[in-house]
Amino acid sequence: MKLPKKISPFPKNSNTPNKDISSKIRIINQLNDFALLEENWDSYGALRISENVIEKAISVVKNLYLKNIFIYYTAPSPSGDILLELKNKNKTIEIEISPESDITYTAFKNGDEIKAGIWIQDNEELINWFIE
Amino acid sequence: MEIFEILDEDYLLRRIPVDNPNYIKPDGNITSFAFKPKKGLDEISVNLKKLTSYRDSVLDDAKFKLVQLTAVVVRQNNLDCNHSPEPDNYSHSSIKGNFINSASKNMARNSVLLEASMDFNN
Repeated sequence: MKLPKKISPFPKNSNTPNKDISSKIRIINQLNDFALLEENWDSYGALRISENVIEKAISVVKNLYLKNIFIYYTAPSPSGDILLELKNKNKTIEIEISPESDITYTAFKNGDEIKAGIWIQDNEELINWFIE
Repeated sequence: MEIFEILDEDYLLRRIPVDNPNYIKPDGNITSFAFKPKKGLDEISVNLKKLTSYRDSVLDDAKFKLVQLTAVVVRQNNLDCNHSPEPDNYSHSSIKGNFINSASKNMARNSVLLEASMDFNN
């Protein structure tokens, strides 16, 4: 008996809109799941992640995906901050979203810190450096 | 309660969450958040490996895994580590000092994920 051909949820080209949407939804779901964390979620007394921080993180994510930039990794810190990590070959940008302060970023090349500062949604110079 | 001197070659254990959230990145590296204290604090808790077991240190293996690093790595990052036993955890130890980002990153980079089946006595 001939088995039905398996259909991949993603077309062969990995840079397709479907893949982008899936990645974006996965990250947003992860961020929303951080709201479920109780105090002491790390067993060392970590703080809860506020809805305000999660909303700010989701806003940054949506803006980055509009520029076709994917989030490589996200995690909350014991202090209730959220890290969004972008990765392109040997370049990394870590965006840190805190409950009480500005969104900041640190950019690395080959593991060495290149620049850091306040995250601005349309920082073309930084984005161009990252994607080039 | 006897206090042990932590030697450079002694292993320190730190629990990391692996469910929600997952402190292991897609490439297998550990996030530096694993070695960051809460804001305003200058220390994190670890367990001295030679005084504990995997089971006692991991607490809940559905939520956590253990990573280990040697005390020398801590000291190379200008941080101090001392055995500081607690009534319910004799192996409890502390890493103290100025946790600059690069120190947390270096400790994460030099930490090794342990397997649940690992026998500490061998």
